[in-house]
Amino acid sequence: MAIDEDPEEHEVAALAAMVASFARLRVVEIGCGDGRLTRRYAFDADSVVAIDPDEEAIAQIAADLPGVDARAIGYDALVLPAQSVDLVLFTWSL
Amino acid sequence: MVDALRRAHRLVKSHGHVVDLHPSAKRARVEAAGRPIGYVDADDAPLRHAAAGAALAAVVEEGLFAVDGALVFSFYTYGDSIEELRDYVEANWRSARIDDQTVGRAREILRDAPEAQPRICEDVHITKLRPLIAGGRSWRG
Repeated sequence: MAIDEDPEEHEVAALAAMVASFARLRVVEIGCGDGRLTRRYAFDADSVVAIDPDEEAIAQIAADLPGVDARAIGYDALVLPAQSVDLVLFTWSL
Repeated sequence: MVDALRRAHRLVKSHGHVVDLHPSAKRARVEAAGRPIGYVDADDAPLRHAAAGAALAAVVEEGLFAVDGALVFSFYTYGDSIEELRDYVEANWRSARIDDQTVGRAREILRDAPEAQPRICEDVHITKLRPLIAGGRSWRG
């Protein structure tokens, strides 16, 4: 298999146009899937909670990105304090 | 979807943002050698994607958020062959397929352009929302 998603990096460029910097941001990503986008900003962010119901994908993110709080849950199960996040990112998940 | 955005409004700090990415309600196109040759058939995807756009509009109308930025970009998925793309869609997209006619057209075109990779093109909306307080006023004064 040699499926190649977005080699032109249009998605990353579009995200960069919306969020100039992830530095010092506390991020919650809803529907992170295989972490295609998570991998691009996780090292810059202050903290990342990345959720997706796909347990296999979350296990892979947890292995690849140990600094990310990756959770195999749906959005309804996410419990965080009010006004505790700088950026909520819906990644093809709304 | 509106409820999800309302929850995001509660989660995000007053100076934070919500960013949404979702495909447009238009069907994803299949292209070979740069030419459109068909579409990905996906049962309810256009409706779901249209609903996402409507949810964003609803929370802006409610006065929960203001739009700080928005654009549309093309997201391409390439395969080494049309069969590979077809199998990928069936395995990874929700209730979606590339029909036999489109596969046949791609084979014909790619026979004359074997170096060309078939691809799927999706138009994707990205929207940046800024939270407002009740009454549509900005936290930022």
